[in-house]
Order: sequence, then structure tokens, then C-alpha cells
Amino acid sequence: MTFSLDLHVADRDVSLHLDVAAGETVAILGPNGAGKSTLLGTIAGLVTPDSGRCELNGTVLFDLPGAGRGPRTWRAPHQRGVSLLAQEALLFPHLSVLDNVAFGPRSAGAPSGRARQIATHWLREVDAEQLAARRPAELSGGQAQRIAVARALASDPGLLLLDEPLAALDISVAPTVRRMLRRVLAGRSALIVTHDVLDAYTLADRVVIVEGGRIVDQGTPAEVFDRPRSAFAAGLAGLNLLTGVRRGTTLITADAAAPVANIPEPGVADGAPLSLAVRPGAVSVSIDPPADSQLSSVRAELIDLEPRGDFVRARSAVLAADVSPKEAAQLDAAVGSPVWFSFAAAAATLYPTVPSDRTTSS
Amino acid sequence: MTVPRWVFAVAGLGAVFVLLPLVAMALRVNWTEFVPLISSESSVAALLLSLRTSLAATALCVVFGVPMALVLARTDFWGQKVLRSLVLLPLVLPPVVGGIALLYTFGRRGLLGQTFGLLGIEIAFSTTAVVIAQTFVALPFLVLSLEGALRTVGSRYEAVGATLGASPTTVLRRITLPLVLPAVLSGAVLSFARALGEFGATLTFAGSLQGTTRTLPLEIYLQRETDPDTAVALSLVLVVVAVVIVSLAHRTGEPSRRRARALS
Repeated sequence: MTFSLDLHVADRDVSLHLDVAAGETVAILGPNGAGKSTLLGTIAGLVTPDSGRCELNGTVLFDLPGAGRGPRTWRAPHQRGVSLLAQEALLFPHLSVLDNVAFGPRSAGAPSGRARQIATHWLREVDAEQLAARRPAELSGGQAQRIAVARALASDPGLLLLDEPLAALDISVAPTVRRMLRRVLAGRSALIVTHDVLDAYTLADRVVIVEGGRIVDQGTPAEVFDRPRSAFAAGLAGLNLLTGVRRGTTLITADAAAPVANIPEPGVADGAPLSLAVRPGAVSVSIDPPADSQLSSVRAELIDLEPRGDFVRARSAVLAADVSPKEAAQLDAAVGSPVWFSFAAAAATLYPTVPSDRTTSS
Repeated sequence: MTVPRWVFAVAGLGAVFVLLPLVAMALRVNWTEFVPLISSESSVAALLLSLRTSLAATALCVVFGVPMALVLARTDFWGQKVLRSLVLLPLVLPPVVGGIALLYTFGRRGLLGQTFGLLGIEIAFSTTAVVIAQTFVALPFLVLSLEGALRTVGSRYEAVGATLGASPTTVLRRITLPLVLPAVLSGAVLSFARALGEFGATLTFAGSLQGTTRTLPLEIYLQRETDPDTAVALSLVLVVVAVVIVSLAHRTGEPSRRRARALS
């Protein structure tokens, strides 16, 4: 393991532990205000937590045991070997592109010629060698972010932190920068904060979901998004998530108001906690009970119908379903009254609701 | 916004109020005698002394003012607001009062003057005193304009520099100072202008000895009694120097605005 972090911020109720293995890229996802950017700031040394401990490649970045409980260690940002790449490129406006990228090596003591050599190498890595002589003001957003990536990598960080690196980019440039990031992040220890499932799938070896100051789920992107354990991850993956316990062929949800009948063979014992994930597109809505007895179904109040481009989302407290505008028109009178949501067994994923640490070791 | 017409009228009145006295003075200039008047021995001595002391004072303002502005803009400590008001006090203080305060600090019987006296250094009524008085009144101009510029630039570039491995001194040298260089220059120009025009504190603290402490403003004040033509001619010289300086300050201030636009 190259990186480990224990973090506690009492007044924000943050308490989490995070490891990054050598060469591993970990994506951190979570709702707004979950403290993801603060987490990165803490690792970079720009924000001081109440207490915690952080280590990178055997060097203690900080060790804050809490007030009155032993000596406090705090390593200054420039001595950490941690580079932070933000949403905005923040290229130094008074330096050329080449000198921006050479800044890290120069600060590490490399002679000017050698620093420029390193900078040229990294500019080539991000396909921006031809921009070397330009000023940051003469770059587009996508170009500037490429240079920022090269600049962060040229300082040879032990850990690279990326804070929503694609969020501020034009939708037409983001894919190219994402591909470039995938290439340069391969085999490199990195933490990336993102809101985008695609970023997690393409860039990360492991996904960590942070909610309410705690890690609520982690695993490979496929594990976390195919079998979500948090409403947040299910929402990102575009899935309905139902949790409850199995009673025969029925899933009794926590509030017990809407049992899901006729669930497929779940592979867990009767009475065991069970999760069920299903895409809204695979769910149908009908006013009468479904004719096909093979379908899983649940009766719930239709809360509203929300147009979303070429389909309409029918929502209940339990499940959401995507229906065609024609079907939606037929359902319009039923809004506010109970209807049947049904789906084929094959469309759903059932899995035991495992306790919090399904992938502690990675 | 469309400016209402009456605003133009009032603004015009204000402009006349500023410009008319200058015109009135220019009208009184004895043009035929102008060159001999400003090139008399005492005039040249006063002009050279003024330039020399003002340049020295400007250098001191930069040396002390840049660190002061950095501390005020980039750190947070108890009593900082009070300290800022005190540092800026010379801006609002009557210069004569400043001169008296300096006299009781560096004068023969002053707080530090006695110590300097024991070392055989006499500060009051010397050219050094002129520089000290000018620095005292001009320092806030540099601190104020630079602190504002530092806050506008913000510390995000500095944070990036630190995470790239640059020590605080490297960050200051390669990021902070280059970014606020236009503000340092325009602040220095303003300080120079203020030092050049300094009168009250200089007269109180340094006296009026030709060639040693009698700067151009003091010379003008002295000549006004006996030789109004010289006073007017020298005043015009001072106005021209001031106009040149103000336009210089405007020009050096411009790149920072251009940079701000590029950033937004």
C-alpha cells in the first residue's frame, strides 16, 4: 500500500478511512457537500482537519491525534509530493505553457535546461507539444486542462489528486481529455473526485462512495454500479434500488408498505436481507394487475409523470418506470392513485444486502 | 447606463475646480525668465535633492511595503484590522503631526535618537531625516494598492505552486510577485509622487537647509516670500513632474487590468 488516510472532522461528522495501493486509481463519488473536495484539500495540505493521520510511501503527511493527545505532525504542502488538479486549469498567467509545466521540476531543483526537457516530455504525453510557446490566455479550456495535467505530472507526484477535472470542460472536449487522462493515469496512484459514472468506469480501478461523512460503499465500478448499496450509487447508475428482507417469493421493503411479489430466486435464506436493482426502462406500469404471472410486481401510488425527452418517467415511492408518451397519456388520470409496477425477473439483479465492508481489502 | 445631462454639468464644474488653479498659475509664469529662474543654484540644488530623496524613499517603501502588504493580505491574526488602520494612519494624519512624531522618535532627545546619538549618528535635520519623513508619509500608498492587488489575484495560484513542490519563498518569487508586479510598480510611482510633494513632515523633522534638507516644495514656499516668479516657475516644474508620474502610474496599472480580463 502506498497511501493511507484516516480523517475525522468532528463538527462536520466526517470519519473515514481510505487506502490507495501502488498504481491504483480510486474514484470518490458522493452527493454535494459530502466533503469530497475538503478531503482532497486535506491530503494536499491546504486544509487542516481536526484529527487524523495520513501517510504516503512511508512518509507521514500529517498526524494529528486530536487536542492534547500527543505531538502533532503537519508536513507543508510543498514537501508532500502530492499534486492537485482542480476543475479549472489555473495555469500561471505570466508564464508560457512550457514554463508552467517546467515549474514543478524547477522547484524541485532541476536546472532550467533539464526542467524544460522534462516539461517537453510531458507536453508530448498530453499531445500538446505544439502549444509550448503559448501563453495560458491563448489556450482553449480543453487545451489549458491538458497543460494542467502535464504540469501536475511533471512534478512527479507520489499521489495525484484530481478534483472533478472534466467538470468545467465543454462537452465536446471532455471525451478527448478523458481518454488522455486514462492513458496517463494507468499505473499511477491517483484519487479522483467526480460526479460522472463514466469517469469512474473509464478512469478508476476502484470506486468509493462517500455519503454523510462516511464511506458507504466501495468496490470495482462494476460491483458498485451493478449492485449498488446506496441510493446515491443507484441514482448515479440509473437504477431503482429496493432493499428489504425475503419472505418466500416476496421482498418486504423496510417500510413494509409495498411488498414486491413474485421475485426471482434470490439465492438467500428466507428472512435474509436482500437488495434488488432494476433499470426504470425495464419496468412497466399498468392500472390493472399484470396479466403475466411470471412478472415481479408491486402496487404503489403513482406520484407523478415527468417528461424526459423521448420518454416519460413514472414515479412512485418504491420504483420508477420509463414509459412511452402514449402510455403516459393513458396513465395521466391515475396520478395520485395506486397502480402496478412490474418487471421481468431477468431484468432485475438480486443480491444479499451485505454489511458495510464488502471490499475492505483492495 | 446613460449618464444624465446634469451629471455632466456638475462633473464639468468639478473638473474646472481642479484645473483652473493650474491654469491661473501657468498664466503667472514669467516665460522670458523661466530658464534662468529654475536653473539658479538654489533651485537646482532643491530639485536634485528632491529627486534623490524621493527615489531613496520609494526604494524604502518597496522594501518594507511589499512584505507589509503580504502580511496584511495573506495572513490572519488577532489585531490585524487594528494594525492595518495604524499602518495607514499617515494617509490621514496632518504631515506636520507626522513630523513632530518623527522628531520625538529620531530627534536628539527622541525615543531612538538618544541611542543613535551615542553611536554618533545625528538623524534630525539631515538628508536622512528627509528620506525618513518622505517614507513615513508615502509608505501607506504602496501598502494599500498592493494589498488590494494581492486580494484580487487571490491565493489559488499560490496553492497550486505549493502542491507542485515550490517552497513559500519560491512561490513568492515566481508566482506572487510576478502576478502583482504592475501593482508594485504603480504603487511605487504613487509613493514617489507623494514623497516628491512632501512638505509638512519634512519641514518639522528635517528643517530647511539648502542642499541638505531643502527639497523643492520647501524651496517654493521660501521663494514665495521674496521671489514669487521663481516660486511660480518651480511650481510649474513640480506640476509637470507630477503629470508625468501620474500618466506613468496609469500605464503600469494597465497590464493588470488586461490580465484580469484574460482570467475572467
